[in-house]
Amino acid sequence: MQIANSLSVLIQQQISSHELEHNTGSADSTYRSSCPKGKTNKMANRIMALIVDDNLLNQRIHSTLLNKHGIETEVMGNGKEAVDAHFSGKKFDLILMDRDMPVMNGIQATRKLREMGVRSIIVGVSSHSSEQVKEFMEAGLNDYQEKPLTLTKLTSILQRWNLSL
Amino acid sequence: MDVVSQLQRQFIDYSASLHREGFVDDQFTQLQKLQDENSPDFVVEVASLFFEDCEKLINNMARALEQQQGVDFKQVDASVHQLKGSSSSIGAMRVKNVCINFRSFCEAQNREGCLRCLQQVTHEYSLLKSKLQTLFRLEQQLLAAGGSIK
Repeated sequence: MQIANSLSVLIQQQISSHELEHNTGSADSTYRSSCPKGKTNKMANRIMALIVDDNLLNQRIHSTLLNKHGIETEVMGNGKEAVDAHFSGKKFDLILMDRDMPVMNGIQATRKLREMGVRSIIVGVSSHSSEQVKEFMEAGLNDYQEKPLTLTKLTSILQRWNLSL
Repeated sequence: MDVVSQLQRQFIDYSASLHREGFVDDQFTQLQKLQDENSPDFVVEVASLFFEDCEKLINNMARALEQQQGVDFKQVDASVHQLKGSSSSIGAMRVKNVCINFRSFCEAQNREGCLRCLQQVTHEYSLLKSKLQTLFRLEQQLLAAGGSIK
């Protein structure tokens, strides 16, 4: 996964992992101003994750995995739903993005979200080989994990991106 | 041996046999570990989702392979890919392995090979379903007797 790793570093430099997106709301903004930058979400709110996957089984498994870490989750069935949600103002700390989905796939959705200025940590999740990962990474992923996700893989992602509570 | 210990022994032995015979792999164990007070029926739920998925996908494959005018192998492959993903997520090793072969036949546009794999995948899915139903029944009996699977 050499290519994936170096791309990951490149992207890390472009998108500061400390500038996590934050659910806005009147109560939250008070917290936001009083907390040190980068730690806002973890101290004031629970971490919010979005799971984008067209497979109900994976939605269920990945939700439970994240919930085990105390992370709240929302699920969407394709890339377009994820993009539309962000257009209407929704924000997440972490997005688990499946690659193959109908309507709009993970590569297109990731690209679109980055174009929109979304700075969330986006982790690509798929069953594809490492050669095909490159295109996905270049769309704007912070990280990539091969399916199936396990507690161990998720723990390492959360630690790497400073998302552990 | 009291009833609870007996039931516990039965459950453990049956679970071990599923692993030994390759019906499930470590991913299934991972899912069992995720079950707790917050999600006490987690494994049964994901198994149900998996079986629903299987049935739907197997029907799609059968329909696509039946087409007399010409089989759309890309369509068959798309369903097999989905099934491979699901079986991998739940740890259904034998189903997953059939899917791997199935995909090769799709790529080769080999209808006979595909039909054989469809038969195999249907068989493996039925076997697994019945095995897991037995496992869940043993678990229920154990819990009802006051034991636990941990």
